Amino acid sequence: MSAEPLFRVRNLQKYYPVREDDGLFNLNFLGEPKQLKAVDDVSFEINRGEIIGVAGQSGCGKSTLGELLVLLQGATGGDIQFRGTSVADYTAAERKAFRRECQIVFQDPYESLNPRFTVSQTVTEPLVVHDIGDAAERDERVREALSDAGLSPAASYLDKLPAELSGGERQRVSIARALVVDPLFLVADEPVSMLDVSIRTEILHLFEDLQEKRDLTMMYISHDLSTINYLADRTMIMYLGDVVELGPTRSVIRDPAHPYTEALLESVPMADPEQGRVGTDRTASDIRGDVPDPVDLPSGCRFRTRCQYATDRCSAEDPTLDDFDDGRQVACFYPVSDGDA
Amino acid sequence: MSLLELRDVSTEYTTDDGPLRAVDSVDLELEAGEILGIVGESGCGKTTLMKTVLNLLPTNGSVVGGEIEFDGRDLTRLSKSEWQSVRWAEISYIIQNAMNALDPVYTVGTQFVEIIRAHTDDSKATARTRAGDMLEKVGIGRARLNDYPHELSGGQRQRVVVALALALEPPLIVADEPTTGLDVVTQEEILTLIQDMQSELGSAMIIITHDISVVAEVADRTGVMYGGELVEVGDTVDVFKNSAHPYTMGLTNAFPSLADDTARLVSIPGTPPDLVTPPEGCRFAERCPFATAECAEDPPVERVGDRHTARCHYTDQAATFREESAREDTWIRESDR
Repeated sequence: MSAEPLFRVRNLQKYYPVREDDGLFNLNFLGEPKQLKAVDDVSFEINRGEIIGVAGQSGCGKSTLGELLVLLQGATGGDIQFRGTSVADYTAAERKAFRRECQIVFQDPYESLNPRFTVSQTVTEPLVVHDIGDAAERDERVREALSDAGLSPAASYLDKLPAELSGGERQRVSIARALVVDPLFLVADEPVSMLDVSIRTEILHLFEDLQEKRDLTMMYISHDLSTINYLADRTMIMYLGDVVELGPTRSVIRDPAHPYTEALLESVPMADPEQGRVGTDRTASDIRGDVPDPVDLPSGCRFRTRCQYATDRCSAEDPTLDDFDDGRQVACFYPVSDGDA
Repeated sequence: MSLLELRDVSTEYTTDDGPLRAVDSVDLELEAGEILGIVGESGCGKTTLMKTVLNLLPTNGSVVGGEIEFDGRDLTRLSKSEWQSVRWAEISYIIQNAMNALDPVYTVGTQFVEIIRAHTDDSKATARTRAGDMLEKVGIGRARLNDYPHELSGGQRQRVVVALALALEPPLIVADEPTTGLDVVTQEEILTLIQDMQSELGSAMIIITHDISVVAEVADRTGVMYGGELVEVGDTVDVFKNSAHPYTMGLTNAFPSLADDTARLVSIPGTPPDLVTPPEGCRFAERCPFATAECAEDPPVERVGDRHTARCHYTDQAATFREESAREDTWIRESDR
């Protein structure tokens, strides 16, 4: 994948001002307004045709990152380049074209569909918005998207309302709505976490097939490392707005290098009563305490307050995301893996 | 003698479409100090089963048959006032959404004191001390007694709910999806906490969840529900390793694992049966890759091992089924090929 990446993200930031109840900006000790750093100085690339998994606990900034990438939210700093052009330089027309090429599917299929729209209206709407095709062509594209999303025969779903569909079917409608405009890139934010196990598998299979059939590039956001392990080519681990580890899924999950990744993996319950959690060389790496206040981040490494390997250096310096081993980057002074060496 | 024994228990809801039998002829035993996990997908009846045991059915639901023997009494026959003394003191529960379990307008301390004093002769001060001890046991400082629920994080609230359920050291605790909606790290903390506290107090526990990995991790025994019926029950290792019901095999193979390089996961085609008009015979037959004409008859509950039973005509072929069910193409229907 030496070709131009689909996305090149540099120093991306999303800071939210923090307002106290009195309506005044809360100031920090430098007299600056306090900010919540939801995404803090994040740089990475997304290659064409890959599925990149993003994992982390609630509040780590993974959903914000997904929304920034499809321009649902504006960044407060940094740069997003899509196919070589910075999205900040887009004209209105280019922006609209971008919104067609990059789509998002949300977690909750009960909230993300208009209850008064039939399936056909829901899936046709993006074509109307982007002024694609005439009535006949739209109808054909809607049917194709529905059947690609696994709703077949498509005709039997066209006139249904969301209330008449199961959770899995609703999520497929959301996916069809994203696919109908033939996107290059899809963000899927926890798309299966509300679905039952057997339906979850079908949706995961659907994503696999779409990657192959439509050459779709995807960002798959989830707190569930086992589905990421199944689906993603590369995996990004986030902690408090920062990327702590990024690399091929196999190495990140089999041989985690960042202590946070290691702890996260050890928390995943295994569907096998005879097996403990995924073992790593060092055991019992419990994460201590709670996630710190994202408004008052610790100095240096933001994971150090909970890290069992932290030293003075970790509070003095902020580790950068550096190359670690083949295709992997880690932001830690004391990685817990030996890497390829 | 078992602590809790369900014999042929059925629960129905009245609906506009007619009676819906959400729990159908369930037999189940729980020994003192044991953790039983009940798994199944949405609508399988697992939450109704819990509400049946706890006498918390909504007004359109009622137990239409069977007995629930708990510590020598039939729970289906207890009066309202008898239930008041049983609940919390003898059977307590942990519900899914911790925010709903706590009253937002009272401090944590007030809620503890109310429950403790309703069941003991403790003075307010003693009850408060006891509540503080309990909070410390679950890893939250006693200073939190003065906090309102909204001042706690999601994980802390769930800890408070666990502490509340354990406050009176009941012999039985029922937990409905105790970790669903929490992120993995918090989930792990809560599961460890529940296990530690359970082994310290020696309470028996029923955990209801759709997440088979939670059950695999904490439960001594596992029951699998499908279409209102208990289709398999046994020691957790047996249910996972020597599954005797094809639905159990499908569920375990549908779960992505961190441990192996996953070949394609299986998915179980089709949807669960409508419980207003359930199918004749085996309820899973329509989705089962191994179903035959015989499956139109009600399957027997077969004993397949020590304290391990399954509701299937072909438990004698379970070993072959287990092998075949791990392959994705076994589950693809002829019509979809």
